[in-house]
Amino acid sequence: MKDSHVKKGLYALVAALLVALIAAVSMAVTARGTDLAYALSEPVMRPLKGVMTSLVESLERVYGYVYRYDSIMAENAELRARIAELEEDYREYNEIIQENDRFRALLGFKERHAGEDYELEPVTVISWTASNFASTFTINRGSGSGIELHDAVVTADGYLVGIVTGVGNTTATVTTLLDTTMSVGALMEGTGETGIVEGNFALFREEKLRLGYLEGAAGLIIGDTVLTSGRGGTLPGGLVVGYIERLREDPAGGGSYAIVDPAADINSVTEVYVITDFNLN
Amino acid sequence: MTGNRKKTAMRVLAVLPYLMALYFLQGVLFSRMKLFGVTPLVLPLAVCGAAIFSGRVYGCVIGILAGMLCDLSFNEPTIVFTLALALLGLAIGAMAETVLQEGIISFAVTGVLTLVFCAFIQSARLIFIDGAPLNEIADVALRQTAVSLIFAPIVYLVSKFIGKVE
Repeated sequence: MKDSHVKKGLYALVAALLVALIAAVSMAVTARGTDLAYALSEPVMRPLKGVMTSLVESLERVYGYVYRYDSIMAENAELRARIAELEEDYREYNEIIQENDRFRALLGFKERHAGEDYELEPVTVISWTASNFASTFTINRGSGSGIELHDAVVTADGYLVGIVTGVGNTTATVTTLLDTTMSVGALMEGTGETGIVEGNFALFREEKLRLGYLEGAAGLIIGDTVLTSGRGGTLPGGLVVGYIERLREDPAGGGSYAIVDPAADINSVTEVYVITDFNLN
Repeated sequence: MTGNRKKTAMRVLAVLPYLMALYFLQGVLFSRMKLFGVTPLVLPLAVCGAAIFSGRVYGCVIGILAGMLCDLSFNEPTIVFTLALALLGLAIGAMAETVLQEGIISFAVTGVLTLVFCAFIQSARLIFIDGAPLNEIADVALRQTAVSLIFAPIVYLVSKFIGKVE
C-alpha cells in the first residue's frame, strides 16, 4: 500500500514536470509571436487548406460560367443576327454594283453604235436546254414585249450571243452561236473579208465557232475582230461576234476556214438584251 | 371505270409528282450544273421502269407525259420525245407482259437501250444532215448514257414501289 502511494506520487510529479515543460516552451514560442497550436498544426493544415482553396476557386469558376452562360448566349444570338443583316446588305450592294457595271457597259455599246438606232429589251435567262447536243436557252420575255423571231440577242457590251428562234407570249427561245443550226454572215473588221460564222459540233466542247465560206483566207489576220455583216437585213451589221483564233485547212478539200473565239462567254450569260428594232442612219 | 383503268389512273396521279421531280433534276438543275460535262437524262429511265412494272398501257401514258417534259427541257416543240417515249413505253410494256421478267436485269438492259436510243434521236440531225464527226457524237452519247445510269437505282426503286400501288 505504501508502494502504491509512492508510485502515484511519482506519476504526479512526472505529469507536473511535463506540464511545466510544455508551458515553458509555449511561453517561449509565444514570445516570438507564434501561437503554439498553430505552429504544431500548420504542417498538416497547410496542404489541406491548399486543396480546399483550389476546390473553392474551381467552384467559383463553374458558378461564374453558369451564371454568365445565358448572357453570353444572348449576346451571341444578337451578334449572329447582326452579321446576317450585314451579309444581306453586302449582297444587295454587290448586286447594285453589278447592275451599275452592266448599265455602264450598255451605255458604252450605245455610244459605239451612235450612228445606229437600236431598241433594246433587257431580258433574263431563265433556263438552259438539257440537251447535250444543242445550245439554247429560254428568256423571260416574249412577243408581249415586242420580241420577234430572228431578233439578235447581245450582251451589255454588244457581243452577239444568239438569235431568237422561238417566241411565246411571255417567253422566248434563243439559239446561241454555238449551236450547230446557227450561221451568221460575217465581216472581218481589219481586212474587210466576208464569210459565214457557224456553230460546229467538233468545236462544241471547246466553245468555238467555225468561220467558213471565205473569199480569201490568205487575207485573214489572227486576232482580227469578226463582226456581223448585216447582209440580208435580219441582223444589224457591226455586232461583235468574236476574234479569229487560228486558221485551218479543211481535210475534206473544202478550202480554208478559221476558228473563232466568241467575244461573249455564251455559256455563262444570265442577263442579255434583245435588239427588237434597229435602223441604220 | 373498270378496275384496271382505275388502277392505271391512280398510278398516273401518284407518279405526277415523281415525274415533276425528275424534270426538275433534268431540265432545271443539271442543265446548269452538268455532271462530267453532260446533263443526265432521267425521264426516259422513268418510262422504262413504268413499263416494266406496270405494263404497256401505263408505260405508254407515262411515256407521253415524260416525253412532253423531255421536249420542254430541250426547248423543243412538244412532239419528238413525246412520240418516241410513248412508243418506247408501249414496246417495253408489251415485252414486260410477255418475255421480260420484272427485275433489275430487265430494267438495266431496257434502260441502257432506251438511253442509247434517246441519244440517237438527239444526234440524228448532226449525223445525217450536219455531217458532224461520229467520234465526237459517240463520246457525248456514251458520257450522257453513263451519267444517266447513276440515277437508275433510284428510278428502279421508285418504279417498283409505284408498280405495287393499288
